[in-house]
Amino acid sequence: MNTADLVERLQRYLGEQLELAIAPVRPDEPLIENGHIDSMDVVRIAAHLEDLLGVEIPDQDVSDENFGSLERIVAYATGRGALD
Amino acid sequence: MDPMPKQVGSSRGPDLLDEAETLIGALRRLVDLRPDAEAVVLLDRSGSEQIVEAEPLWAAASAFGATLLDEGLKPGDVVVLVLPTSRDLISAYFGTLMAGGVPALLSTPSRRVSDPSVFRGRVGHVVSTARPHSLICKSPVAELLREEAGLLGRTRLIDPSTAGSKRGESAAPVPCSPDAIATIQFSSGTTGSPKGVLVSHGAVLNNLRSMRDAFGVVPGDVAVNWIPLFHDMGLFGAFLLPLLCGCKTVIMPTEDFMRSPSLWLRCIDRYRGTFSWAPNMAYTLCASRLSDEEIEGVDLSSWRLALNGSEPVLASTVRAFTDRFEPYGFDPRAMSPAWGLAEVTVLASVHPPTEEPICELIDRTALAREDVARITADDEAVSCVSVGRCIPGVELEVRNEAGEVLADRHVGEIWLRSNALFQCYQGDPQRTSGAVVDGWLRTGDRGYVVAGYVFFVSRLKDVIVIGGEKYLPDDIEAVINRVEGVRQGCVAVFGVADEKRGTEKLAAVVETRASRPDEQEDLRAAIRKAVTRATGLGLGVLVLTPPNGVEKTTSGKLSRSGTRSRYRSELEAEGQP
Repeated sequence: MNTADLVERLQRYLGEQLELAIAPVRPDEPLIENGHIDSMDVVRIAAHLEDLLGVEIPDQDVSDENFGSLERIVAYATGRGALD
Repeated sequence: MDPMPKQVGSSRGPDLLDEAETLIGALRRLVDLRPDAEAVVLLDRSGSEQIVEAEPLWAAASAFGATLLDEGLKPGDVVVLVLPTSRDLISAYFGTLMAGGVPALLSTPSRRVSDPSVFRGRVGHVVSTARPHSLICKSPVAELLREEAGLLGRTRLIDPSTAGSKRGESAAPVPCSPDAIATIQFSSGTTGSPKGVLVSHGAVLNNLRSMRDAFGVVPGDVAVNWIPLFHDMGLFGAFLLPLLCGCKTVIMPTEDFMRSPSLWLRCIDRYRGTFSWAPNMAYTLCASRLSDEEIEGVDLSSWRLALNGSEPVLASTVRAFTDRFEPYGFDPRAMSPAWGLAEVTVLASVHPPTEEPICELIDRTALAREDVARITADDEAVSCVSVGRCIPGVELEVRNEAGEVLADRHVGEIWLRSNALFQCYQGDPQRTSGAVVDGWLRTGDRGYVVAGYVFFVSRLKDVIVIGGEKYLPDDIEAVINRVEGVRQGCVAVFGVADEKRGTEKLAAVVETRASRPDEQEDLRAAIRKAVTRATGLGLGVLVLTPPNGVEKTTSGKLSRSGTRSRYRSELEAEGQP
């Protein structure tokens, strides 16, 4: 999977699963700070990312720093070497 | 008046709770009568289970107690437990009690969103007010706390792995009276300064017996839960109640429920669970977000008591959950709205588990103008779900501001008399005497009664409750006040309904002199960032206004309810997609 695929998949997930009203979500939109998702959603997004990428995400990585926006999620996935 | 529960499950068997005078006495009876009972089952994410039998639980707890006594613990000393749900936490809780100490559970730091300094501030406040003898935590938490010099004062840090190693050296439990404090509950203020609520052994045992009788709990029941034990509903409802009634007590980590909410339902199926507690938000989440594949083949027919408490119960949630899971065997009567507070240990009322929940549609105008709950068929009606009837040992009155007791359907403040009343707030006698008048507790919740069924309407206090966690608006206002560009003291924070999530969300009205769009944009981002760092929550609605936009009383005091009414349309508009 490449960056564009991941962004598209996550946008769809946020729109459909989390019923985000701002879909499609801009990559730099702060998701938690702007009240679109809560910390429980972050955990669910992490679990979804595990399924998408086939990597295990340890609890300590599930933070606003890594999951607070689409941009940050992509950066995290890249850092984990999970994207083409 | 009290509900007459139908006895479900196997026969009652020897009663563990009736003769006990302390929590340790009750645990001892469990060990004596059923030493091999699979008392607690701890699950991990992979689904593998760790079974803790009664006898080994006792041994591990006494080893823990022996360590605390070696460390110089004196009767009544406070021991703060900062541990995730685990064998260590269970041993530390009972071990502290066996050594004559008073356990106080605090949540472990959330790495997810909020700043570590927020966690340190919370621990620092507890240390300075409760002056604990020791704090039990694992090394990553210990490191986090040691980063701030002087934070812990004279409080010792003890690692649970060393404390549990004194097996074989355990002594008999230190005797204590039923009036001795059994636990300090830190119930409110996840940010800022948590207030400690002290409850005695006698009060806890009374509340456990009342819950047992109201729910009709028998040893054949199986409790399956994921709510954390630092929450009162977790510690007393999901852990001590089933354990000390001799039921199988299955607990899964909260984090695992959050990652995959379907695990909760799958575990109820796997263990043929009969009772489980959760905040309203969790029922909403399961009803709205689980796909058919995630719950394929799940059988919920064993579940006879789905307690819904610790935040307002929404009619839409009750309906949605029942509709979604009835095809999976869920009994509509199982959904049992409940209400309580830490000041009466945990529970005050519950809807009888043998009846379907009651929801009323109330005339909005009569409610606002006359404080009367009149049934209507109007589209604009307010839905009220009954939180049931008082459990045994609890009496309830609805009173007006003059303290007069009101008739059925009249809305006023709910006052309670309970055999599980708390002893006091930690170090705050003034607050205690303000809350308890002639043995009656003023709850700060507004509601009404119809033929013994209690309906919750709103809170008098401004506490915000999100997913069962309480937040004080004062703390969040203080955070926003520190942001540059905000007019000092001109910030109002409150909760507004979040129907989609089945809970509340944070809303703030903030005065500023910044008027240029780019300045306002930056200010918004700075406020949102500060709130998330401090609380881990997002700000659902943020309204910026020029000076004098926040409502004040004639004496110049901030009026949250006045501000909320003034901005009703903006709040509703911003809350909408």
